[in-house]
Amino acid sequence: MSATTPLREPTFLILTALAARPQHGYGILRDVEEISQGRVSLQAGTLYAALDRLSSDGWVDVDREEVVDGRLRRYYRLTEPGAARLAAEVEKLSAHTRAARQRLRARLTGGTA
Amino acid sequence: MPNRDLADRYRRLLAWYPRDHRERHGEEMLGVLLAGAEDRTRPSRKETADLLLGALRLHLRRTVGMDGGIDHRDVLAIVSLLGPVVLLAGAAPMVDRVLFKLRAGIGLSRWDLVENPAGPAWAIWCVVAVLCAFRMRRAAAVGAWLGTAGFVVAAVYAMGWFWASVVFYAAWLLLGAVVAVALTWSPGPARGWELVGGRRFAVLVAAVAVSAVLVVTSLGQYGLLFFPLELVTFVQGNGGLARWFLGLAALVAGALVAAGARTREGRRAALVLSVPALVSVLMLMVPMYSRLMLQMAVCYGVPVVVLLALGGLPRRVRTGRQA
Repeated sequence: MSATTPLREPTFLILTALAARPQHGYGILRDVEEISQGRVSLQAGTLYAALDRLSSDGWVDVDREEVVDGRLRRYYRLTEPGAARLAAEVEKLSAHTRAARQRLRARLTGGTA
Repeated sequence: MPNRDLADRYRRLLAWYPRDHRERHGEEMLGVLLAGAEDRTRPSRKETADLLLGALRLHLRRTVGMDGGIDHRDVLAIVSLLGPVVLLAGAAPMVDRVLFKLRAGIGLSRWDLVENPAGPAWAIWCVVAVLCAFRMRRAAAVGAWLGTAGFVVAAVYAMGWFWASVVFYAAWLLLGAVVAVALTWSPGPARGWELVGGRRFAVLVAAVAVSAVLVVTSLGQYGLLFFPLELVTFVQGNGGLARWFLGLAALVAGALVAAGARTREGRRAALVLSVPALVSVLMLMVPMYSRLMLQMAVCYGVPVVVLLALGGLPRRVRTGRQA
């Protein structure tokens, strides 16, 4: 598992959608849209290709299955390694964001690089 | 009923997904697609493209074994059982020459060993094949290492009078080494037999026999391998090429049927077992007067890369790399 390779945005958003609680496929799609404020709208093909990869990486696992209106609904949850990877990514992005904010502030106050 | 029509259209798109994914996630994906369909009566272009691209991605991941769904111990177990049988195809031209001499009343002499320096190695592989059929893994493993070493010795020894001998033995050396590894570190032929069964083992024996006959009666004196096409056709003409290709096809088809085309482990094992055919075809494509180093790089390097890339050989899969 590489903690240095940056997560792509859809992956980051899927992991974020699963961070608080297990969700089924359609729930993840809606949540990703909400988290990204409508900017990212994943399709089912992209979601399930990502889930396949994240499952084989051990970051996401099946939590439970339900049958709703005669259709199978499978809930996915974030595993501990998945949560750790997401936390590492958040930490990295936060550090970058802090640095960028400081530089912008310095620029506004007339500092030099 | 529009909803049923839409579901059928989605199902047709989902049919492009790998079988295992379809079985596990097909209905679930259909539910997600229908939940997001709103009042649509057919999949949108964006949805169609996304589903097809998703299917392609999953197929590619499975093709290169990135999904971790291949049990390489089983792949090697099948190879440990069937590999020695495939290797015997390489002995056919030598056996043919020996039989020809015996039929003509010409006795065998030490010169036959000079002419066929790999003779003892082929004899060892014959014993290994029998040991594997009786699931005697340890004895077979010892034999396989000896047989592989025999190919190395033959290749080096023969270089003195036949510069390309190192290339000539590439296919058998590679397959022999993999079989030796498989016999040493995999669950071995007993597990291979569980996965393959006696009937499919017999299919491979028959395919190897058919392949050997086709090769020997076409470009026989050169065996299954090993010269650039221009040289082969210059010496032999085009007549034998079709039958020679049929010989290769019989070997590959036999390997696929015997190892199991329906399982991912079986297909990977068949890929390993097809290395001699792959080297044959590669060798035909090499330019006639190319350097020995180039020929060696092609005949040894390409099969190893192909086997690693397509999951025929175990490799460390880097997980956690996000697309």
